[in-house]
Amino acid sequence: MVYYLEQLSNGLAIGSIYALIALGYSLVYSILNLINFAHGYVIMVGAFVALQLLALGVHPALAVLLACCSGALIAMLVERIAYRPVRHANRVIPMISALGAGLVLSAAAQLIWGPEVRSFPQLIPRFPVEIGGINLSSQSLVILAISVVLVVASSWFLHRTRFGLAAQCVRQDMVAAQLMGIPVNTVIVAIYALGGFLGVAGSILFAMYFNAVFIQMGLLATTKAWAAAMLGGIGSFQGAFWGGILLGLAETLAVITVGSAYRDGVSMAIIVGVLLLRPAGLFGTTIKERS
Amino acid sequence: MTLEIENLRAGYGDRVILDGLSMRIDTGDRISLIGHNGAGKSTIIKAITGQIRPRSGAIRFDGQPITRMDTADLVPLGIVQVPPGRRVFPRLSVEQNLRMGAYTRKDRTGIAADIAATYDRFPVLARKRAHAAGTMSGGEQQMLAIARALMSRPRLLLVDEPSLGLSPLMVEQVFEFLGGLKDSGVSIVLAEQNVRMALKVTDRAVVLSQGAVRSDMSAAALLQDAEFRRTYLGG
Ligand SMILES: Nc1ncnc2c1ncn2[C@@H]1O[C@H](COP(=O)(O)OP(=O)(O)OP(=O)(O)O)[C@@H](O)[C@H]1O
Ligand SMILES: [Mg+2]
Repeated sequence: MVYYLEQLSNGLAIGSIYALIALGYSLVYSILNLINFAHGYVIMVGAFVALQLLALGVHPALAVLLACCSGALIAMLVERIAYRPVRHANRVIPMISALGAGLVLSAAAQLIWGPEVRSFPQLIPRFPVEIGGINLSSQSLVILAISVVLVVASSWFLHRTRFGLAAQCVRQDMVAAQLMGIPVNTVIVAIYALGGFLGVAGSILFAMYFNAVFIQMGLLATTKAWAAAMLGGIGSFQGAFWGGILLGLAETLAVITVGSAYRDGVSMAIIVGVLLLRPAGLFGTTIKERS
Repeated sequence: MTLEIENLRAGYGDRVILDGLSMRIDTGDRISLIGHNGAGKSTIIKAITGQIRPRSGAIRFDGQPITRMDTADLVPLGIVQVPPGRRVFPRLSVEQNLRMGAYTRKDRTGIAADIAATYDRFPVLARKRAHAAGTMSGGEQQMLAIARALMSRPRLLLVDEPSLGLSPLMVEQVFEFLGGLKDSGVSIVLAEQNVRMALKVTDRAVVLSQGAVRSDMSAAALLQDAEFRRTYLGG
């Protein structure tokens, strides 16, 4: 029992990482109804940027912050180059251009940093924390805390500020938002930027947790974000968060019962399962198409 | 306020809808756009509000060319459209919808006062201020859509098909509201299928044909015109 509780904290930590990654992905979906295939690649690059800055001797906190900002910046560029020109085209087209942007990012990252798996410095001091006879890792707790702070702050930003309200308007009716004087393009760019920022925070924590940074993280992160967002209800902020947590717990359960080789299989199984049984996800509501 | 449209050509793809249209709107003008289905009434409104790019011609607002400006940038100048089909933000509350109407304003106290005034005028909006706008009836949503547009304190309000999908009783109420805007001094351009109702709340009527202005006269004079009565009022 104690073992399972200890593992629970690992599950929560990895789950909160997925939640951060899934949020960026889901935010874009919620506003534009686009599957953002570039998201995973953007945040993979962000993790490499963090690694690079650390190697240059930049203070760790600053390096992480700058890397998150680089994620925001790259996401904004992707929006400008790969999405905006085709925003009003058939929705398959932006997905393809997103995938294209992802491949370009992946190739560029490989050119700069090479194809090898790199290890990532442990920025969070590791020591056991005992709570009520259960040994938890300090790393898991810090990851969980960082994620919760970021998620709560973003939620406040999106639900309580004037800008957040404007983003909800864009989401509910882009044309009407424009008619009210809301600068729709600025809102969309900001949403991409927020998604890139949160996503890179997630990918850096991911890199620390697994002690690895690699090019294929791009595809892997997109898959995880997709699974988490599907599970929680795609396009829903809360859904992405809880979907990420549940995915982390499910994977951890799979690892301790059947072995770590099944970790990634679980996310795939969840995508398939949710699509079959509850297409709107756990927290999702099917949004009626405007007639 | 003056809005001048000069020799406007606009359309969709290869199709030219407005072909050399000119007209002028001054402060306090209340104008009905009259024309058959597809005559280009909505197209004029979309051209003024920057939702389509005209091919040639000019639109000037107080002398300043606005022909190529973005829709959202026209709102702070005072040009606001109430779109056909209302398009309130369905999952925002009534009050949030009103606030978003004032998105381009910065004067907090003025906004609060205008919201209070809106509630005084429409007790139903006050009662449902915390309800999601999408849960209200069509007529209530239309009231909200107009009230939301007015929250930006426009100088020119363009209203497209406000009667769309409303019961006759609701249509009465919406037009009563539009008629009541006379005292506020805001200029109004109304494109409305229900010509009889439209002419009751406007003073001037601009009849379109072949993508240009066919006649421009007082609503009262147009109502005396035999040919107009035959084609639009059925005798
Ligand atoms: N987005 C569009 N793309 C292509 N053609 C369009 C578009 N919108 C309108 N049209 C065409 O342009 C013409 C003028 O349309 P418009 O909507 O301005 O007419 P209207 O006078 O408002 O008519 P109604 O009384 O039906 O509202 C119509 O023939 C219409 O089919
Ligand atoms: Mg029309």
